[in-house]
Amino acid sequence: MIDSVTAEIVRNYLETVAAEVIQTMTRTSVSPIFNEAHDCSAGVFSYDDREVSLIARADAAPVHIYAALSSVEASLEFFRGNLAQGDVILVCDPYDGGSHLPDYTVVMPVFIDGKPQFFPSVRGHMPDNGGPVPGGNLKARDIWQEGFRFSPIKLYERGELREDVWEWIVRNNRLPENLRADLEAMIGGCRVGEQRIRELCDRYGIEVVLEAVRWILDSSERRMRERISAWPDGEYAATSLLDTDFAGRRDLPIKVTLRVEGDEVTADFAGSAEQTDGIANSVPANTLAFLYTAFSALCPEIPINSGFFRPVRPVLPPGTIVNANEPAAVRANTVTPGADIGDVVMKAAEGFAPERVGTCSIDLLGPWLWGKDERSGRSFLHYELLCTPTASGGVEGADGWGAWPATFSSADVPSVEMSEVQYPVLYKSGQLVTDSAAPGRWRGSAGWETVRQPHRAADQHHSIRVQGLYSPLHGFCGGCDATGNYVVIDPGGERERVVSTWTDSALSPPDELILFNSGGGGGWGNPLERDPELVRRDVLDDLVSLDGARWDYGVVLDPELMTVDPEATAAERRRLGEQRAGDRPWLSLGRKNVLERTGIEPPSETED
Amino acid sequence: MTDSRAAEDRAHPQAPDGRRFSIGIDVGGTFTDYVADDGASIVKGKVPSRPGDEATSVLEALGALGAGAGMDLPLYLASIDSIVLGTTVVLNTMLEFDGAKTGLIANDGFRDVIELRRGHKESQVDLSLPAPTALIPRRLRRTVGGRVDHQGVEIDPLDEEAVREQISFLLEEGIESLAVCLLFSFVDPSHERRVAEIANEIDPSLFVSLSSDVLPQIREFERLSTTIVNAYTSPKLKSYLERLETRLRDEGFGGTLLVLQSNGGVMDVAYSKARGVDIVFSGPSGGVVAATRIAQASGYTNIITADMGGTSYDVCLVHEGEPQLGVDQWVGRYRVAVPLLDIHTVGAGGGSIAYVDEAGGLHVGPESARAFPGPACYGRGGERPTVTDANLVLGYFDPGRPLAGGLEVDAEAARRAIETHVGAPLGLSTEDAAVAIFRIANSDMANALRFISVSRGRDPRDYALVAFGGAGAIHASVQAADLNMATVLVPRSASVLSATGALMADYKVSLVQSLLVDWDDLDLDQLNQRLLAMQAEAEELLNAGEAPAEVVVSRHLDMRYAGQVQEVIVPVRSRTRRITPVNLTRTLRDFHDLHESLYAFKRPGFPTQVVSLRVDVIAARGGAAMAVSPFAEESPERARIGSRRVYFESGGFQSAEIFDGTLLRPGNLVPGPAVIHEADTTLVIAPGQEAMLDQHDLYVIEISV
Repeated sequence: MIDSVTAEIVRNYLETVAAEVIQTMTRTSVSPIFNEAHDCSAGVFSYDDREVSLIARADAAPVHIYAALSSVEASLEFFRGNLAQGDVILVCDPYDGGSHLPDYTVVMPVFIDGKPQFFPSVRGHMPDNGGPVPGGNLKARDIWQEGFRFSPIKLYERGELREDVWEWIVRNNRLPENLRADLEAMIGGCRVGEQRIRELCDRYGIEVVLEAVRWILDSSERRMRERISAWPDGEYAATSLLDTDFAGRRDLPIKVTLRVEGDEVTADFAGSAEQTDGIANSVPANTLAFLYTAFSALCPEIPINSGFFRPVRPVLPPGTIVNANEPAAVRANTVTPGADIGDVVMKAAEGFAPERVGTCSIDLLGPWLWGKDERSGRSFLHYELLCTPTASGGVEGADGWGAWPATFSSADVPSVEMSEVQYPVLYKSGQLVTDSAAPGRWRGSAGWETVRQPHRAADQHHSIRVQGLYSPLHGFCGGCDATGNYVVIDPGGERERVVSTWTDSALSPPDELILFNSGGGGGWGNPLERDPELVRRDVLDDLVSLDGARWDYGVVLDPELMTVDPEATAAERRRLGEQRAGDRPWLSLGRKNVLERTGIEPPSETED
Repeated sequence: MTDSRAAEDRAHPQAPDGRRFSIGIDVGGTFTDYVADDGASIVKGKVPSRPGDEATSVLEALGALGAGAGMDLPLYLASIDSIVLGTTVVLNTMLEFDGAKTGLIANDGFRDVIELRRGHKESQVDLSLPAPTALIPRRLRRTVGGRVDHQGVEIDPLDEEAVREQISFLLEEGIESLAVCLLFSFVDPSHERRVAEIANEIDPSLFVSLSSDVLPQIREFERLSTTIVNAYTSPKLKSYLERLETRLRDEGFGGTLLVLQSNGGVMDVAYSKARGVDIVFSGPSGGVVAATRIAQASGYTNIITADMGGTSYDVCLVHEGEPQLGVDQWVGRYRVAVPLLDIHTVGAGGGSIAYVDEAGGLHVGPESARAFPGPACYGRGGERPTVTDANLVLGYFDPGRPLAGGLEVDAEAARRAIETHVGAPLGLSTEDAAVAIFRIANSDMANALRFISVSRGRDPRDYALVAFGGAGAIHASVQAADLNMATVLVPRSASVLSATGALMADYKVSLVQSLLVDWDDLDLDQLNQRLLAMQAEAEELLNAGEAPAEVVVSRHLDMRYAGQVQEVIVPVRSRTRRITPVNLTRTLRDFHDLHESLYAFKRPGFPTQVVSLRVDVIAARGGAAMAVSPFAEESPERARIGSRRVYFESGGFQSAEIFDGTLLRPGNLVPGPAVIHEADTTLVIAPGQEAMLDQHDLYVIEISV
């Protein structure tokens, strides 16, 4: 039996290894999506002849690393009996361990005593993955139309670089030089991981390390089971609606029933929409990643590894939007419907862990812009991450703040200045919007408005995808839903038009402004119970208007002195409480503003 | 008239023996350390810090020094040539949130740049982590019209009327300090400068901090956050330094008062008081400077410094004599992007508390017992076990010997705390529980050392470990062995190393200026012009601070391959004031090589960019003379004071020889297992290791790996 102290030391060591791997990777990659946006992750996996386990992960995009678990499993399965020391495997196929085609996972088997026992792994979203359209083919109707697809493949075999394979991969990419450098960075990170793992095994001996790994997994499992046992048994269901599949279907339900039984939870997605013809289909790696993300946020005190996930049993009905059958297109799934999956699991958990729930997802606001940069005469492709920065929700005891929820906070929001240097764009604004924070006893973060203008760009086109306008991110425990994402082209101008779902390859005149509104995260708890002093503070900070204070929170302020009127507030809160007690849904001021601005008609309430 | 006569009289008294002193003082959270050098010998010591009243701590340290020299305070102060301060005023201001009420002027549309923090959050799972306290609440963040693009082309002129209006509004709100951060001000600072002029017209007493002065570097969030920290902390620093200087002068001090900077240099009060943000790591950088100098004197240029204090363990990598600069430092919860030493901190200090989680996992820190109540063995009511308590049970401290500050140890309290909180839950004996705490703390520290080296592309085996702080040398030899490092160095002044660093540091001004240009478009004349202008600016600042006129200039370029966002800082080697084409070619080659040594690959021929220029101008201060002592005999017998049962990883508890470090002489060789008690510091030498005091008062511990 291993002693817990040694096991704890091994755990700390492996977590430092994961951090070293991702640091090495992000510092050496050349694509902004890694080194600036950190859309990548690293982990250390083990294999014990039966199953692959995640044993340590870096503090980097959690969604990626949970999905990487499936990728490591797939590569082992694919190369069963054909793995050797010095092999380096690359995985991308969504139907073989991947999420969507641009997410590449590098897996490096580390052989000890003649067996592959550990796998440092790096996973990242590549800036391009071939295919007919840069940034993904919105019109794809199957996986083959989505870009370059390959089975798990060896980039190195027994330490020998496979030049033909590399050439084949980079020649199928619009950014071959970048791809080569980024793959080298990913492999470099894994090599650091391998070296560190060997040093650990040299020091303690493989048997001790393996026992420590078992202890680490069992310890998280035990704590997770204790946590689940404390939750009341029962069935807790929730539904999210996906606005669009980008192929004609609207308001697609994502449904989950969390069945808490003793020390286990079953997450059953029965009732979710049938898979779609469009690109919004999820696959197991991706669905599980979001399921696990929600549970990691529900239990932040438990170290995350495969042991943590053992008491969580997923049921993913095949042929649905959460587990599509080949060859459905899947390009959008890492946010659409991935984010809805995370959000709906959290919403269902409201029934048994109200003090722990809050927004753990984001909703899509994804524009690609391309054309010619007149400053250099070269073409450019800009995946605009600056416009989608806020989705942090309220939780018991804290308002939403900052950009994304903690679970997505490893992804960096780019710099305005660096973006203007790199791309032909001028930003007119990037700021919080008054009355856009989802009301609650603890409110969500306010929405964020970005206005961009082409600046010495010629022949600029854009594709824009929007989700979460018709059905925004959920509020919790009586808190309001987020106010919703939308885009307005040429705001206030003659050609003004609202983008409520998507545009595809539209031409943008050189002076055309585009406004992006990112709707923030959900609120938590009844807004009428919010501390009036906090409402007053938000009014002083222009985050809530005087009207909003009254409408959303029932707080009446003296407009001159800016003090709370306690009697008027009590009366207003009583009145609003009665009014809202009826079946009639009420809209927060921010949501009302968004509906008026966009002129859309949201779907009526579902029976859940 | 009598006043000025009195002042004159005070200016002339002399130490009876004509001695003149240089003083280094480091005010820490628990103790204020001091070191005095009279050219012939060095005196060191500590007094307890007075939280919230640093000036008094400094005067008490000086009083203690004077008393030791047999002089009253005025006489002693009159005999001092220079005092260099390491201060925690800035860091404390950020931790206690008692800085100046501060307002911000930003571009229209960009009121909230500070809110997003580039997406960064301190936890990636904990949804309930609240927002950081706003140093400037939103209502005091105001915007004005005016915009320049990335090349400095004015798109909209500055709306001066709006500037007046907003500054007046902020003054009515009672601000004491103003931060100004406009987009691309590092390319063209004229809008920011105009805002400052207008502010000065409206209220000449308002403290104004421009982002183009504080950090003229690309990336608006980083520049803004740094500028806000500066505006928020500087007024308090300014009033502290002015108050202290006045008190010292009133008491008879006629020498120079200098402040240790985060870049490891010193500057005068006039410079420092407007630049709080450059002083955040004042104390820690002193330790790194001293460790670097002392190790260098003994021939070690590649070192990792490890400072183990009461609450934290701070490590910094020094490569070829140069402490490395950090690129992504957060101080508390605030991003500070001025050049800071790359000091990586983990919560594993002597006071870090050990606890067992619900699943039986043992953890150490980050919660600390601090100075009050302190570790259980302090006997001040602390009931939870700390690393110091474990060290006591393991035999590293002499139970009969007072701890730093003259504190008696309560060994029973330490045993009880460990037994109750770790031994019982884990089913371990008290000794085994102490071993467990020791191992976990060591693994946290070793991981910090790994992180600072490996994730920066360096191999720890190429470095010597320099351990200091009260307990650093208890743990160092274990970590060094763990990381296959061959040598541990422990300066004899380990417990007051930051103060020693204050004594040793040179004047230094570090300037950064963004210049985004593709390597192929780099115009050598323009580059030289920019660098010379930066050098002139730095020299002017040094002159104003009355630094010696002779300077050493070093220039660096922040370079990267096109597409990368993190830069490599590449030295520009030039023998003259100007950079020649040959120098430039060499710089490009060095970039590729440096990139390869840091990141394991290089891409000669790939497009390369310059992002920023750096100029460091250093004026030597003469520093503390490093005494060289001749070697005495090899036998340490004269310093041996007994033996004791002490725990070692190999072999467990065993008898170890105990030495009184103050009696050891250079050349004495101490084989392990042994413990050396220096004043306020303990060195543990494991079996198979040997320690020798070298001619520079540096213990060199060799580890047979």
